[in-house]
Amino acid sequence: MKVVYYPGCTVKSTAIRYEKATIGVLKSFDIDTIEVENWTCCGVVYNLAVDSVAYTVAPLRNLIRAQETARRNETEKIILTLCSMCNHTLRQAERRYKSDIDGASKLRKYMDDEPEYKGGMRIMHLLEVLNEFIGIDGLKRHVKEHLKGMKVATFYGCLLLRPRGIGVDDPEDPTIMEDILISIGADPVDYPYRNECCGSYSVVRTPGVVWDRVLEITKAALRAGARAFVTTCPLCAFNLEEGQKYRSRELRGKFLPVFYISELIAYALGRREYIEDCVLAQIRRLLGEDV
Amino acid sequence: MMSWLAMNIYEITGENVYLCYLCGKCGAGCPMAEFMDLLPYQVIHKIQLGDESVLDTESIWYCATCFTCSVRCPRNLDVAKIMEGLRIIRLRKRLDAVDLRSIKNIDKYPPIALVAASRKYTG
Repeated sequence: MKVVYYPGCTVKSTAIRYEKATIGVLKSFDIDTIEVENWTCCGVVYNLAVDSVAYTVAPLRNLIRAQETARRNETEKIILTLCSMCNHTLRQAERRYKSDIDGASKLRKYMDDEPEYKGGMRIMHLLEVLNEFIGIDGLKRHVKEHLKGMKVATFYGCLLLRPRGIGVDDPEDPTIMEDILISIGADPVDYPYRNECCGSYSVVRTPGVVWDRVLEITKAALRAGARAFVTTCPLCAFNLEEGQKYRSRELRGKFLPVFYISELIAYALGRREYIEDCVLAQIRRLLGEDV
Repeated sequence: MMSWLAMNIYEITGENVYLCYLCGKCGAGCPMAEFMDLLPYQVIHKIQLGDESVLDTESIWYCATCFTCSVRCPRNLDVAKIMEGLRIIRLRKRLDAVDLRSIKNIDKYPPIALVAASRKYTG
């Protein structure tokens, strides 16, 4: 099958290793990804004002371009997203466009240089694509290198799960990441911070606050026996990695490496070529292999 | 009588702050609570009373819109939206909390963090 893929800014820069692993994993399950033509930034933080549609322009423009890409390349009407924030913003815009009739007509007039958005594109996060089109059994069947019960702490973060109706799983007790990880042989631990916010973009204004958050999160993950974090959000990944470095004294030098879920899947499938060397070395070290 | 501020928040976000009965659940679950000068329900209480000093609190900028409060509110208020409403009142006067020119090592941050922090320009 073919799906339209919206990368967003960060997956193309600081989180490029996430894209590499993901596209590789999907390809090994015969899911081809076709990048949205001429995509732009989604706007990242979806403005919650109901009296203005100005901030819906950027995500809507990307929905229109995804729709056109799907039409030209005859793909499924699915937009794949990897980044939690892109996923959130595109879905919020889609919901607004569908439910706010006045707003939608204003947007159409304002954006008359683009084709009309007809709706009907389904925005799916990577986790949903894995769950729905490959499935737990499908993953299990393809495992070549069992992860030997590697203890991992999932980190969902905020915008992947919330608000209700936009998020990909239950906001209070999500299981989608755990299900996938168990199917490839990992052992996700239970700890209280997995669906909490890491501090998000506060890292730009008040980094110390985010490092303190990460300290608490990491301490809880360590107490639960985790040896690595698994996430799908490039901003969570950045905060978790940097925060542990800045609070290494409080953590007594302990450091949990942060993996994107597709890197662990690529490893389990035996597709090491999709994993960056330094990440591969970390995974192998945790599995007790000689590096 | 609805305060000017409550009316403004209602127009910007569609949320009626007078539905809040100050149970404190939003403050209890807020990941940023320990850094806030006023907890979310205290912010809402001030809006109910029309106390415009809430616009100057640090709390509204510590809120990272993670929606934990919104999914837990027993009155079904979208608390994150209310906090956003206060920020929007500020942003529409061109007052932002972050000055990107003053940030050190700006190139180490992932683009999403920088774009998100540029609220004045991106909303």
